[in-house]
Amino acid sequence: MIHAASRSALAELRERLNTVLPDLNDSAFSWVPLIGGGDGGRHRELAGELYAAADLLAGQPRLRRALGDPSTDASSRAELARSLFAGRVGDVARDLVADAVSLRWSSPWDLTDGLEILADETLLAAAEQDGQLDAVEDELFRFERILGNSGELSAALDEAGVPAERRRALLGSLLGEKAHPITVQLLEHAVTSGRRPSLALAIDDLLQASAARRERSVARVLSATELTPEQTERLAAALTRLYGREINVRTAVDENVKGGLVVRVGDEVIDGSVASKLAAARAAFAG
Amino acid sequence: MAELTISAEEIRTALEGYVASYSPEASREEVGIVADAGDGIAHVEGLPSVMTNELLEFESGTLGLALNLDVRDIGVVILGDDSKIAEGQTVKRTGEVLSVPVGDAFLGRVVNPLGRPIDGLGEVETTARRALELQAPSVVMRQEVREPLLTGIKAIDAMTAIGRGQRQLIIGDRQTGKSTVALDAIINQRDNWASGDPKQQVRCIYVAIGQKGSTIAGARSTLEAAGALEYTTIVAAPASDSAGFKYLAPYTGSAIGQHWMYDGKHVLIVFDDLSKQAEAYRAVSLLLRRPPGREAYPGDVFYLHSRLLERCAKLSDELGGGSMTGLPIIETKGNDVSAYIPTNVISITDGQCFLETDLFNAGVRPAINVGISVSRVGGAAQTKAMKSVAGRLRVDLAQYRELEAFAAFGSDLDKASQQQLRRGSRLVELLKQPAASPFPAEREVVSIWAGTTGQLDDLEIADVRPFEAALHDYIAHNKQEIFDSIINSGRLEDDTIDQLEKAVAEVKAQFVSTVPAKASDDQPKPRRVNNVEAAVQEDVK
Repeated sequence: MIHAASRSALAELRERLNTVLPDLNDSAFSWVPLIGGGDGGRHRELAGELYAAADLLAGQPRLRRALGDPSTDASSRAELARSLFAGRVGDVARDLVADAVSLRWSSPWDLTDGLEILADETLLAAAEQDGQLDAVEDELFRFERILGNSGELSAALDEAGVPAERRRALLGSLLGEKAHPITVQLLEHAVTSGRRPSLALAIDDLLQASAARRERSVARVLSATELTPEQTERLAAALTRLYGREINVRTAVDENVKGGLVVRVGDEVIDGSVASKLAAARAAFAG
Repeated sequence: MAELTISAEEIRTALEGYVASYSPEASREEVGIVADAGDGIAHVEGLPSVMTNELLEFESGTLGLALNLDVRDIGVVILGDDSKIAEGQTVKRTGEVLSVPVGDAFLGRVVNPLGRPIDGLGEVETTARRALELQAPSVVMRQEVREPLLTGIKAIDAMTAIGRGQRQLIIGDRQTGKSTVALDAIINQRDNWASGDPKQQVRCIYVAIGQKGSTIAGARSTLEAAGALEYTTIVAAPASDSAGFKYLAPYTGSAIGQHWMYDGKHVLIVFDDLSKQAEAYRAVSLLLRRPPGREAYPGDVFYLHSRLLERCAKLSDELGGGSMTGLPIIETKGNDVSAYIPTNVISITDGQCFLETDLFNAGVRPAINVGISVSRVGGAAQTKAMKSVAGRLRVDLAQYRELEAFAAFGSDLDKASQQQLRRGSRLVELLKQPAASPFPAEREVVSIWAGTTGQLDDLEIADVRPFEAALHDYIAHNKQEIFDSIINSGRLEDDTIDQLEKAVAEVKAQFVSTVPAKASDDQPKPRRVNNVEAAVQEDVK
């Protein structure tokens, strides 16, 4: 989402979401059936509805273009969305979709993306409320590593020609009960969303969103052996000093590193691995 | 916190289950939806497994070509009628990457860029198909160009000879006889075809891109009248066709030709013309919103032509030794060969014949500018006989052009210069040739020999061509052995030269000048040439 109109629309929509989210815990919404008890059931319900709305728009080009056409009257677009979704989704989701539709988006696809991002944020907010954000973020990071290590798996999950349900089932068979329900819901949507061409990139977005929610950055660290908690802490402190903001360190073990560390923060890589030094030495000899 | 770990074993089991549970359903078919359509372009959503260059079928039965595979939609060029394509219609995959039927049944036919006949002579019966976008033969699959491909045009065969497997560009402004040169080259293959010898026979393909329907019909009837249609295929994408067709037509022609080439046969393909194809591709690219570059052509317009022309090749003997000779045509504006598309194609091809409006209007037809025209590889393909007589021709003509400009100011000239002017003007006259009357190789050799050795210097300019005809007739009737010797040995032996000199003397003895005593007054020639000629006459007196 690179165009200014879409970005400001998304910012406005986020504001709107933030005013709605606290209300979700109020008794006014007690009719919403709780899913899995105290792990943000209403949030997950809302996110599911927003995902469904985004999927509907993605699958119906004419509807998407009718709702995302900025040249028509905003209130009539909102009215169309309201009448379409009334009774099919909860009132909160209906109002949010109507709000999104009445905003000005650079392209109809940006409207769809905006709804998906809104749903992601809702889930992350739920995790934060339950104090599970760190766990969810860690699970996302672990799964990204798993995808990185198994080309076969990421290829199977990214194969656009295979129906979405089958890919979702594959994901379910892997995650099952192991992961937090919010992680599962985030990934299940990410695997079928067309917003990003691959699941790994979609997870990247989710990690960024999660870090942004805590006003932190994520450092992905690869090491040859498991880092001790003290080492991790020291690394986090050093990176925090270096970048001038809180850094969340996510560590993973990769034998190919051989020794030392590879740290990636955003688009920046600090490569202090033995493997790269060996490669440099080899290049120098060959040179 | 419980760490999320999934072992490799678990992944393998899950993937196995995933693959095992897959049961292909025969009825399952991917469909997409037209998101928008217009100007011969449609954007289609869905169809995640579509391949690049795959044919798609719209509800109306019209075909489309998937060119842009974007994240969320596909940019499709509509091949044919786009008036019935509307938003929301479903689009089906055909699973077929663009290919055309190929085979000998195409000889004598006029087809559209999808290989469907448009000449009303019924279906083309063939089973083989060939993909349009196949890589050109690699370095090891080729051999150098050595066999001549004679065009029957004296100026070209003598100075910018073309070999089998060569790419020779024909370039010039509108109305300078570019297509005529190419059609003459096709017509000249008639004797090769009639010989029935597959080593001699050349199958021809004429690709007409963006031309008027009447022009294409005219080309067809020219070929038919000359008996050349039976070994020629015409791929026609007239001006009324959509840009997609015009962009594809050269590749279709090339695919039909490559089928024969890989079969060990010889092919001559004419792309008439590639500037219109580049324009069609520009239209398609701009409508697909690809970034425009110089002159608004897309960035890959060089590759558009280079990959096409690289498919013309002379294959190695292991691959049957077939060849495909390419004659791309480019139209310039105001004789500007340094424009974008002309420079591109000049750099890709192995030489060019540059046709000039001024020469054309001065009656020099074919209007080949000898100075700028070159053939980078054709020399190796010339017969020894032609090489021996044509060696001086280019130099003589270049010197003549230089002197001619000088003499136009009416200055006094020494004897040597007058002689050079005389020789040059007769050579220019000798190289003139009407359309659709190609010369056999041995007659070309005799004519060029007569010109370059000064046998024609004492004739009036208007007498040059009648004399040439008389000489050919005389040799054909009385001294056939001269022609036979040139044909069989491929050389001009010393005793043949003696015989030729005798023949010239005998023809001169009988020859009656067609020019009345006061020659220079009523010659239908431009003033500039007359002036030079008059100056020469004056000085001789």
